Amino acid sequence: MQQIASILRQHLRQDIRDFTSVGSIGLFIVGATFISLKCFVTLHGVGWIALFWILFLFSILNLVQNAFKSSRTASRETQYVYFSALSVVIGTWLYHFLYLLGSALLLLLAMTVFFGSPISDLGLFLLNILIGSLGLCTVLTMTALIGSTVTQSNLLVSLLSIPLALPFLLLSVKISVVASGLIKDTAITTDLIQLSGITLLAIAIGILLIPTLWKS
Amino acid sequence: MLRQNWWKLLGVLIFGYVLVAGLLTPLKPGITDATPYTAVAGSSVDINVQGYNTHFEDGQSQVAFLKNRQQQVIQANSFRSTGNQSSVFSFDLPDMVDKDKARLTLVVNNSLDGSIILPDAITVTKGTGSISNSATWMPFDVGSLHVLEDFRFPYRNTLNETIRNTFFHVAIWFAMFILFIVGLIYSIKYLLKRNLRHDHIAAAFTEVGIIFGIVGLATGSIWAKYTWGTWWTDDVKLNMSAVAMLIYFAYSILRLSVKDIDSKARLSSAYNIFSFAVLIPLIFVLPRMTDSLHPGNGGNPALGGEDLENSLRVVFYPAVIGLTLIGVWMSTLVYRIGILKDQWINDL
Repeated sequence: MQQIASILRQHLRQDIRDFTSVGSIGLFIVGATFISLKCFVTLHGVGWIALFWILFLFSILNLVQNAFKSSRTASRETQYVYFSALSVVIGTWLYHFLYLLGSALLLLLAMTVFFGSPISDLGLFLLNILIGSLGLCTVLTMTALIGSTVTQSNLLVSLLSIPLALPFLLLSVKISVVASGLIKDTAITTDLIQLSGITLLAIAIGILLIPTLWKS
Repeated sequence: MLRQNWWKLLGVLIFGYVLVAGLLTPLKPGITDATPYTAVAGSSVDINVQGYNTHFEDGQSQVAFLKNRQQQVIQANSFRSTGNQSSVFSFDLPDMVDKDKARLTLVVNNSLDGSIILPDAITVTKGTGSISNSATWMPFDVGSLHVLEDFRFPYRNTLNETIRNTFFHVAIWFAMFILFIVGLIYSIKYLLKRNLRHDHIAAAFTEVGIIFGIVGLATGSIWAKYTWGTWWTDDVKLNMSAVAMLIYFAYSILRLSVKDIDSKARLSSAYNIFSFAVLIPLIFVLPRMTDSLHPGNGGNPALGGEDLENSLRVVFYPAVIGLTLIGVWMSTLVYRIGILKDQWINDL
């Protein structure tokens, strides 16, 4: 537990010291939203939701690629000596989760400012973002871990993540459409349970696989 | 040699049987179209019937009925066949007292075709004018009809001859799943035992599974163009198979991009297990909970009781077995190539 907190603290301290990655993600989100505004001019309903999730996916793909590179936290050898694999990965996973939530909220803010918001049930939408981010950050943490030992991993991590992120995105988009009031769905709890279910499954399998991925 | 490799021969023989039986067995006779689609109760109507594989001219003692939901029928007064595939049946429609509208099923029966049925062939609406005939509904006497005993595949409108694709499209998805699951098992085995051979087996089965998946998508796409009118549509099963294919393509890319043999095996095994875990709910749970254009939705597709006629099962189950055996054979070849490549790299 202490180790996890320590890793999380290292990540956050690194971001405070070196503002580049936070700033670049923020700029990416605002810039991409503005470009979309100039291209689409107006955007309602399903288009808004689709754009939201696409921008979200691509902004977080940029984020995770360097997570396990040695420059970020203590060097890999140090981590290997002082921390257990599980705590390093879970610490990074929590850090990703905070980061994903931050980018989602920033994106939501930016798109609401530029386009207006079609979301009528904000509580459901935020819950959706919460669960969806949990699932996506599990997938991204795993693929970043896989990619961390490969040279030239940037493209590879994206390639590995996109198909795995799709199931989460499909469900999240569906829930978002319901949250925007475009369709009425009384079975929305089923969708939420499905989304939580695959998230939990991904987390469980991820935890099982961490030790094998870490040793190298 | 045959003692070890009998299953390869068996696979090829079974697939040969599937090709012959699946492509050469004729379809049952069916009705492609019957015009007009609507008529007024109490009038006479000439129904122009287009048949498929039918013997309207050659068949003996031909009768035609219009049947309502209460299992009552009216028999055609007369018919005039212009060839085996087309015929005109004349009916006197009785008056309707209780309902405004009725959908009637057309049944044609003769000695060569047995009963040919077109459900909801004609919609009869209540007439306003005077009744021109005295026809009445009679109980349906099934006993006097001819029965077709031959081994034939069922005829379905819109499917027509493409019903044979069941043996290839559906069976290849089954075989693909078996291959992927074998690959998964060997990935787990590799992570437990760290035997590189297991990784090669996993990779071989997964690669052949990908090939089967591509063929499955292609046959499905062609079938969809014929029956649904489009190559690709937003159907839950299509989406999920596309996601599955993307994941396994990513798996191949991962294997190509890692050069070190041990870390290649470790990473790709982990990715295989992780992605399969994400896939399970998609492929086995979601399609059963969502509406789909595919048959058997809301239940267990393809293996369910109503979706597959017995004549199809006789070919479909062997098709699954045959394709799986061929897939395993292909996998062993890919596995041997992989082992040889490793040895070659070591020898360099």
